[in-house]
Amino acid sequence: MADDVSRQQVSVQTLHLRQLRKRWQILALQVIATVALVWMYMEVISTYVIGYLDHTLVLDQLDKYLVGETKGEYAIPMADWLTGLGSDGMARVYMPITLGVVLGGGMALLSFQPPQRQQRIKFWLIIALIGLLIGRLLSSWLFGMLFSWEWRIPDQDEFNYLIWPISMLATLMVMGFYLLPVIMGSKGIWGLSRRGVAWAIGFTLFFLAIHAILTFPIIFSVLGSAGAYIPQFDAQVGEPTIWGLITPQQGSLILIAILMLIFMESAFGVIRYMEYAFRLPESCKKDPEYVRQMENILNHHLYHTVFFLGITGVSTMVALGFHTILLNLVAGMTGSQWAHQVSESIELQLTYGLVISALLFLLVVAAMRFIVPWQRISGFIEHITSRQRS
Amino acid sequence: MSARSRRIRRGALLAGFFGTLILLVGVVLSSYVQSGDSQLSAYDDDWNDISAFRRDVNDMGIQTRSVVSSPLLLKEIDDPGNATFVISGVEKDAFSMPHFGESGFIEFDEPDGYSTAEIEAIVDFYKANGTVIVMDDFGFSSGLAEAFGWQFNGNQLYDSLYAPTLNSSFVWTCLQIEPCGMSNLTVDPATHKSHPLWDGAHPCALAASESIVSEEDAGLCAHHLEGGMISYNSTYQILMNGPTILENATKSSKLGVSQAIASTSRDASIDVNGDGEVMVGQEQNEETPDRAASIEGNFVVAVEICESRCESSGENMEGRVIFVADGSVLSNAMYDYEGYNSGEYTDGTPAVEMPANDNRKWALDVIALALLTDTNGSLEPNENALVIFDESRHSQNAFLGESYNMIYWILVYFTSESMAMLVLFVALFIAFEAVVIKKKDPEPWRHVFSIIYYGFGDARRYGYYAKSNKIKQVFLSRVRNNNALTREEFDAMPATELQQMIEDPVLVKFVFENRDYSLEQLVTIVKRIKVWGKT
Amino acid sequence: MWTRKASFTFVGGIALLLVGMMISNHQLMIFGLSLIAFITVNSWLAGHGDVEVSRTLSADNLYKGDDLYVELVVTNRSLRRTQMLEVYDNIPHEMKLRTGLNSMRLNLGPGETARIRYSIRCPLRGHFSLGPVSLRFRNTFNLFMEEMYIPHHSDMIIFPQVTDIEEAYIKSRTPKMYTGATTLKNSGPGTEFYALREYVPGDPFKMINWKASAKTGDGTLIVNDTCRDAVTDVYILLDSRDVSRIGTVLKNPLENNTIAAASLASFFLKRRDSVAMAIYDEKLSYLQPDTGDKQYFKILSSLAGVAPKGNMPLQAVTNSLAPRFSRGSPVFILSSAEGDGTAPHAIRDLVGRGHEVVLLSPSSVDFERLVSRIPRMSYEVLKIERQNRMTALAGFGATVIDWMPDMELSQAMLQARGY
Repeated sequence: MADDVSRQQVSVQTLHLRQLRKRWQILALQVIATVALVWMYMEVISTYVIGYLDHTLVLDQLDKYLVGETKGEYAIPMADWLTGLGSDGMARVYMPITLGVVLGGGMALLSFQPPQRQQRIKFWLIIALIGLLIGRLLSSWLFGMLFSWEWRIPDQDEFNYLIWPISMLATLMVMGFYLLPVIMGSKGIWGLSRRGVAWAIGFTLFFLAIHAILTFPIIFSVLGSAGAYIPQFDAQVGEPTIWGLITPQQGSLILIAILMLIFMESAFGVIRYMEYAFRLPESCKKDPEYVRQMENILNHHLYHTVFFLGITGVSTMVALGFHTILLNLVAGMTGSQWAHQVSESIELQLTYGLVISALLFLLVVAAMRFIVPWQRISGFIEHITSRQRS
Repeated sequence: MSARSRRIRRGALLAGFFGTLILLVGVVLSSYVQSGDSQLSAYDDDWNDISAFRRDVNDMGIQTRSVVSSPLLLKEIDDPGNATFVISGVEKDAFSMPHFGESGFIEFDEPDGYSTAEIEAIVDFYKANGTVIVMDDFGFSSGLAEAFGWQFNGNQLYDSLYAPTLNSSFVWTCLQIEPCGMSNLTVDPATHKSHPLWDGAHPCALAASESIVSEEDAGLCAHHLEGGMISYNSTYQILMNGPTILENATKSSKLGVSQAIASTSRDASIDVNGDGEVMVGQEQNEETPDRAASIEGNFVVAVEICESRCESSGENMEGRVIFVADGSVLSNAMYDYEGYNSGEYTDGTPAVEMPANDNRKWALDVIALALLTDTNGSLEPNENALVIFDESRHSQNAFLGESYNMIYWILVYFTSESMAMLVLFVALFIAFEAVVIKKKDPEPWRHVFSIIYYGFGDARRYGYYAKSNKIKQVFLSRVRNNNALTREEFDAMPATELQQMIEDPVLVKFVFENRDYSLEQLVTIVKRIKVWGKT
Repeated sequence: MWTRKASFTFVGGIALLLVGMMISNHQLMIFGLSLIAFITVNSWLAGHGDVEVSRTLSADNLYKGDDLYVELVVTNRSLRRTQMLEVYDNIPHEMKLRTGLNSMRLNLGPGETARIRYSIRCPLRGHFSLGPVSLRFRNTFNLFMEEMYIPHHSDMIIFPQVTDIEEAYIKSRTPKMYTGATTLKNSGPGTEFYALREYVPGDPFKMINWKASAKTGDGTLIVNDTCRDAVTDVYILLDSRDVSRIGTVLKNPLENNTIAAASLASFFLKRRDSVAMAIYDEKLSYLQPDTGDKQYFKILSSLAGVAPKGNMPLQAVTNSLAPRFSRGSPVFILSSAEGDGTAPHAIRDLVGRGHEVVLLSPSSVDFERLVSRIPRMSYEVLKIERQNRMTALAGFGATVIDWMPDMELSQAMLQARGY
């Protein structure tokens, strides 16, 4: 009797994390998440920060302060090509972003090391940091005392050795603050850390919320001259130039939202699947059935990331431009008076009408579920293609 | 109760709850959704709409906008100093919630027509140098007028100064301190006087001496262009249809200085009881309920209010509110009387012609006055110049349109009015809380091997088995069993024999002495019982 | 059903939209709109659970402690992809997963099949059922989810363990008068010839000895009478009263008794004896004496379903059954002999009828000690009382075996003694 039921088999490919991490689908999702993160960051920077309060402005102030205080003897220790100082526009952030991704990746790599090695690396990093901070001061001071054979406190020249490391640290902190989403996001994606991804999203949302609060008319009016550092978006909708649906500003804002969704879904997706695989019993990790189904799941996550998030972007765009279609439609149905007054309405200029028609469009999109059998269509196509393949 | 009847009861309760909710919401919303014949709309072309005025404004290169939800949106206007808000007839009241009063407490008293927040938005617009024209008669404008120290009487005005070719509802008035007089069947031009505020101050009056080559150069004063010159004349003979009068409100207002710019003749009267007949006397009573100008003095039909000085114009122009006691003063039939007479707004030529009037001239002069503020002497409108028509209080032709406007209103109201915003915040908070508390994803499935290692025993008897009597009984049973005696034989046995059987003096004492034993003593006895009989 | 994530996304989207409008902030509005669009677009593909499942078991009946291998085949017969589908085969919580997993996350294309293989161990006897198969499908981004189940069940019986007691039985001091398949040469159903006798109505025709009948000359029909094959009727009385549950789920007098009953039945049936079994709890169930595998299966099935309940006295059982017992046949009473004042009388009656009575009695006080901290002195007194009881029962002529919880059945059999 017992022989009637076949036992679990063992496949060459397994769901052990070591193997799964190298699967092309997982890598593709991680790359997609990283690209989305960087792109989103760049889009946020280009929309809100560049030219207003970007890191180069802060670093420039720091540089001026240092030069002024030390009479030109000291300046920001990092090279301009690393910080983006002296560059224009988005060129200011390319290198810092690269550094952020590398740093985040490094932190992820560190998190995969055995705990003992992690501890050792962290220990040496702290030692190096301490050495960087006070190493020169200590060596110069101690050797000075040794050669002169007298006990004394460090002199001014020796204290000046602190300027370079402190300014270096300040530079790194400024850049770290600006690059926090990129660093934490990269660490989250590659280090499979939910907290890292949440930090990246949280920081970006926090930034957007702060911007929203600061540009609220009552608060903005209180800011006075400081308001010049905060970009303001017109409360009224401009002329749609992208596909005749949305304004470039709206396009940029949609892109930020969609990229955030892509980043979030891909990064969390990878973590979710890896977690599932990790929790499987050893025999299931080797079972070809589990391996095959994991492949199915990952493939479809990839398809859906591309398809659904693409469609989400497009439908948001269409939703924002839907009021023109709706007005034409309503004009035909109810006569021109109402349509005319609505088309001239301040509400439409102030996005109220836009929001209503956008929600109506999304309602139509949702209702399409009942009209178009998407599942059957996609399944039928898949059925046909799989038959052709076989 | 069976599950079925419980289900039915629950279903009935739910249906009752949602039915009541829908009824309540329906009642509240029905006060807003009142589709009917549209009139006084700037976007319809019937004789009783005001599209001709909007067209003229557009033709002058001024942007026009509408407000279909609520005047709360006036807060969002970037440059109120270059904008004019036109209210032509307030046909409906709207739902509004209690508001935060000046004292910081919630006030439940809400005016008719516009809500307190909407009136505040209009007042703020006015204070930011915006111009507001309010034309109404029997509608819901009093709340707004009261904010400026005036109120609409709401009863129809009759005057000997009327258009006899039409009917007594069509009343003439002139924008001047003294009322103008009649001559035969029309107003006597000899009684025309200049506008009490604009004469010499109106931008078109200031440009009157300049030579203007083209209509474009004449800009907002193009309607005064005659033979290459602007010939501004500040006399205005206004025709009104079914007007009422403006009176000082009981509440005084500190929002500016008021100037009555038009009044009725001495022969005017108000039909207070609305019976179509005018019965006046020295005293207002049941027999003579109506009111007469001959007794009370000339009635006011138009008022201008400015923050400090209404005679200013151009760069010094302040915010200005003009109340006119007739909602239809700019209706196509009177505003564009020529077009009306030629049948442009009716099916065929009208039987009775509309007399010529200065309604258009006045309306365009108000626009010129309001918008020629920072043009550096040019008569061209500023590129930000804007005329906004309030369509939020007009009924719509179609239910769909009315519903769409209502959604606008809900959105605008709940995102602009402080109390409504608070309610919305609370609602959003509750929604989030509901999701946090109620929405739980099911736990992941996981097989849990669990054999409950429950135990069965009777702990209550443990104490009983530690009592000396029970121990004695157990021991005696042991003695009886070891000696293969029946219960009866054992009971009948003499004590001495039993003592011999037991042998152990401690146990004999234990059996025959009734006394309390300490725990240690009992332990010793039990130990002895255990080994008893084994040797 | 919307997941928590979808609900948050939607409410968040609406909130951002409204707050964006309140403070005239485009980014918030558009972000809110994107979230709502995300939900809307994703509602197109929600997945489905329209799959076919079939389960194969390595055995329908097995002994307590054995491993069971299960294969669940899930096939998507529809033309739609299932999307993310979680399949979970419900197994009784009394069973322990040994290898594999009884669940799988899959994404089956049209016509695709997946196999879930796992094995479980069954530490408790009883009637069990695997199933139903629970399904939970959701879309890729975990926004919408539905749960359903397929009522696909596989029933099985877990028999009590059977231990080998032959050696112990031979070595024990229990009476051996019925050991071995000794022919008693009684007339009855069997294969071996016993004697010729006259035909009586009801005898099967195949028993007629035609030659012998012809020899009588008067037409009397003679039949071949056979020896009764089953030489001994063994009676097992199993105490399944409520009191027998004392102890843990895995170790209690009833569990021990079922093991003993199954082992004794196995032992005697292998020897072609005829075994009868009576289970008494709140009522009396009685299996007539019989031999063979079928009887063995019946006994094991009955034992699998035994649960402690009721409080029927032993004397009521013996009063009802003793008249049906074959004379002199051995009777095994499997009982803790707790809370039953009639036990001595019942045993006396059985002994009086000439039965050899063996009382296999799990020591309930010691079972109770596994779950309850009995004060030392109370325990000692309880033990003495139990010894008294055992002594009394032995005094009535029964062979009494005091069975301690940590003792194997064979070990217990060896310490059979007369008290």
